[in-house]
Amino acid sequence: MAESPMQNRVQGGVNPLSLSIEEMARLLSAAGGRKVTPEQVQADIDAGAPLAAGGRVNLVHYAAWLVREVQAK
Amino acid sequence: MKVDPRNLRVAEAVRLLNSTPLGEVVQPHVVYRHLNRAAYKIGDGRKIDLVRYAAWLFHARRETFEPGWTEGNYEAHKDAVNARSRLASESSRDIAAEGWVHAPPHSERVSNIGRAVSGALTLLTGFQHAYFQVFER
Repeated sequence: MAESPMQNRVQGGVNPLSLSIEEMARLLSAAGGRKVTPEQVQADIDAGAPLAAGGRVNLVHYAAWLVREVQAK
Repeated sequence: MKVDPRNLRVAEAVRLLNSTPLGEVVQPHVVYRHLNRAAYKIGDGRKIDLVRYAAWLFHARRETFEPGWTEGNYEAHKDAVNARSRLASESSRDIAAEGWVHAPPHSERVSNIGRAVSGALTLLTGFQHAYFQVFER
């Protein structure tokens, strides 16, 4: 079955709906043009960013959490 | 309907971000504001790349406004400045409110109209005179 666009793999074959913390840091670094470390992503998770089963991060859920945090800041 | 997370309209981005277990987290006007603030860092100016938007949000969350300021403060500040500008604009439009500008008396108004009509007739007569002079040659 073909993948839906939301399941498209980006940036070297990773699934943005299920990323490890290291993959998320690499993806954000590449997309933002500024270094993001796994420790920074972990700090967000410690601060309440949503984490899926198996310690994976869903980019959409993480972005939703970030947009809420930016407004509440 | 298929949505491409790397090429979202604002409405699609809002729906996608509000569709997570976190519930409603953002309104379209906020995404529009972010689109303007981030310029072309998160898309082509109209469409949004969710991956780049997430990266921008990641850094935006860490960057602070002036000490003690938040995005909410900024909005309140913007509203206050707008209200002050509106007040200044309205007060400058209200120069006749104190009663020192009066409508001219009726007779003066009538004579003004008379002068205007007379001026127009003079112009018209002059024009007709010049017109006939041209054709008489």
